[in-house]
Amino acid sequence: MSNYARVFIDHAECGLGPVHVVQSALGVRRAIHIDTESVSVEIRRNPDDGQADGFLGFPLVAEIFGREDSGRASLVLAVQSVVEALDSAGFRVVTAAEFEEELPGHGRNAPI
Amino acid sequence: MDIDGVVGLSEETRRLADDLRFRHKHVLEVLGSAGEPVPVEILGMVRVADQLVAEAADLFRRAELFRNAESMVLDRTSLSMILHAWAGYEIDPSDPDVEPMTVAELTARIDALATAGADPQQVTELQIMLAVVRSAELAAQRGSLQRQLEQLSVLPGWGWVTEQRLQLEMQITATLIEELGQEKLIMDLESGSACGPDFDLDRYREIEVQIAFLEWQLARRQLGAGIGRLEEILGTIGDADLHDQMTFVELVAGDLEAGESVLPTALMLLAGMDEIHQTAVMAQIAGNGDLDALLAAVDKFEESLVVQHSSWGPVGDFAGGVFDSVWASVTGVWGLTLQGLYDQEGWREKWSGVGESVQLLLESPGDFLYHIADIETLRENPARWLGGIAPDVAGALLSGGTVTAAARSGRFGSTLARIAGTIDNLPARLSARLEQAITDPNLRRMARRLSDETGAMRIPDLPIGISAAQLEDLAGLVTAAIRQLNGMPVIHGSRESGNAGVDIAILVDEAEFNRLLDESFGTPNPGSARELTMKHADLTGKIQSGDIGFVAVRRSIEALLGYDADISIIERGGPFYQGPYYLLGEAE
Repeated sequence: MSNYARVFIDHAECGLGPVHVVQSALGVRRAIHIDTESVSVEIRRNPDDGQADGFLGFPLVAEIFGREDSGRASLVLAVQSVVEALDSAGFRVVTAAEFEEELPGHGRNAPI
Repeated sequence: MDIDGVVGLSEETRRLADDLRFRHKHVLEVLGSAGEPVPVEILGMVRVADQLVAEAADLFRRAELFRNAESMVLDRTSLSMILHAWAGYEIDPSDPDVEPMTVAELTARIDALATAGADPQQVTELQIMLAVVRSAELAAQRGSLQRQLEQLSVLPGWGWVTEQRLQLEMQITATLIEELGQEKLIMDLESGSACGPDFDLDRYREIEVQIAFLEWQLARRQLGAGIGRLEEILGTIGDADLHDQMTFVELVAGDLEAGESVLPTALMLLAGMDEIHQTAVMAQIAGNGDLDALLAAVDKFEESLVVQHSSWGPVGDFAGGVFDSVWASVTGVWGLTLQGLYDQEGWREKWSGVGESVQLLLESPGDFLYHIADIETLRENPARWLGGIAPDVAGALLSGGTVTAAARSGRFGSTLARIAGTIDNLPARLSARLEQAITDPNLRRMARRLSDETGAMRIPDLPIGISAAQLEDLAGLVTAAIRQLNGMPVIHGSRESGNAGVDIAILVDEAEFNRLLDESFGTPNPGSARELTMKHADLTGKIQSGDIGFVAVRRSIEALLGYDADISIIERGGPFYQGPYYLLGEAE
């Protein structure tokens, strides 16, 4: 069971920084590494930015890791929160995770 | 190599060749279908079998050459010179007595040696000569030429090795039949399905591996003996006093065997290795400048060599290059030996040059390799080029003082300059192949020579913006993180100065990449974003740090360096496999 999810984020036409959105969703205000009790989130440049088609070439990715002592449910919940917050802020997002089918709308608002 | 178009082969030879080809193909299929790595010994044995077929085919093609009239005239010229050198006969090459007189002279010399109790191997060379001369004696005897050449195959030397291996293959077949049950084995082979309900695959594999190991040992013994013999020859030639006392027969008889056995046995070992180890062995030879290094390298890598049958392609290219060069070398040895029959002075001069060539190889292996480099092949097919290095080293040894003369005259520098001017943009794959063995300090030095002198490869110095202390800590972090992987950690050399970030790659071969891909992604649901992510990783040959579980080490690296870092798995030969790279953890 993988404790990892990657959310591809397309922010080209958005004015609000996705880092800030994620920080708000999780109730923390830290730098690009965002740690909570159950998950750790990193917002990074997508290495394939502009070099891959579709969501694989989105400019940013949010990498979300569940902590070892946390359950799977908390990871799924955190990913869902992040995706919903990004969606509400107008970002196009696609989630790639083992459990993506369990998320509302498969964790995406953009085609794959 | 296809032998179907070769004339003159006996039915027995054809049967053996067909059996070898079929059965070894079958072994690969069986092992491949089991989904397990194919032991390198098996691959080596298959290569040996293929080469035997090639040897047989070329032997008989050469026989065809002897059958045309032009060759006959040339051969008579040589024979008349031989007779003149031996016995002072003045005889016109067109005289029909040339062949009978040569045969008589050869026979007398063989008898004399035998009567004197000479080493049987010393007689061998003359026996071979006798058979060849007899085979070309009269046009009417052309039909017997094939039979004569077949007789050669049972004499010690190249043919002897071939025969020994054929015998071994027959023993393998007999063992298989005995162990597996004749009826079942035949049935399985003929049906092409060896995985029937009663087929004992494990036992089959066990037997093949055991036999392959014996084959491997045999090849190693031959290689060791061959190198020892070659060194003995060189030592003898180094003693100038002996030159005036020893005749051709005393010096060369039997030594052809040594010269021939070094090359084929070496290439058989090499051809059985995977791409990385082939390159490493080449580096051993180049770096140490010592043929013994080949044995040492084989010892070093023998036990760790397990390759996937999927890597057969480059191995095939490599073996092809080896064969091309070996055949050229063997024919060169043969010509040099013939020269000794009628031009002892010239022959002595050339063989003396061998010692000088060895000296150059020892003192300046890089120069030696450059001299024999086939740049055109290198540009078009690096695998084939690398495959040609090993035998070319030996071939150049046997070519006499050519290399030494070029170096001493100062022309070598201009040769290098010309090579450098020829190479503008070498295929990325060449750099990749050389980098694969970069952990070896000797290869490291050789690669730097390539870098400095030809521009063939670029290896950056210390990565910009990283101190030596940081680099050491970084290497420790990464090395610890990848302990469970079979990969090589590198820093991408194109990194810009400043704090723009650092890209660290773990270079892995195809098999390891596929294993890690499975481990990282498992079996994602069809049509999911995760499946598309996995396919993208597979397509690009790159597994990102999050997928492989390298986030913790990535964070540690960023903390160490103070700026962004990325660490990913890169498949050798894939789209992202583009140097230059700086090796992490190198101890030079």
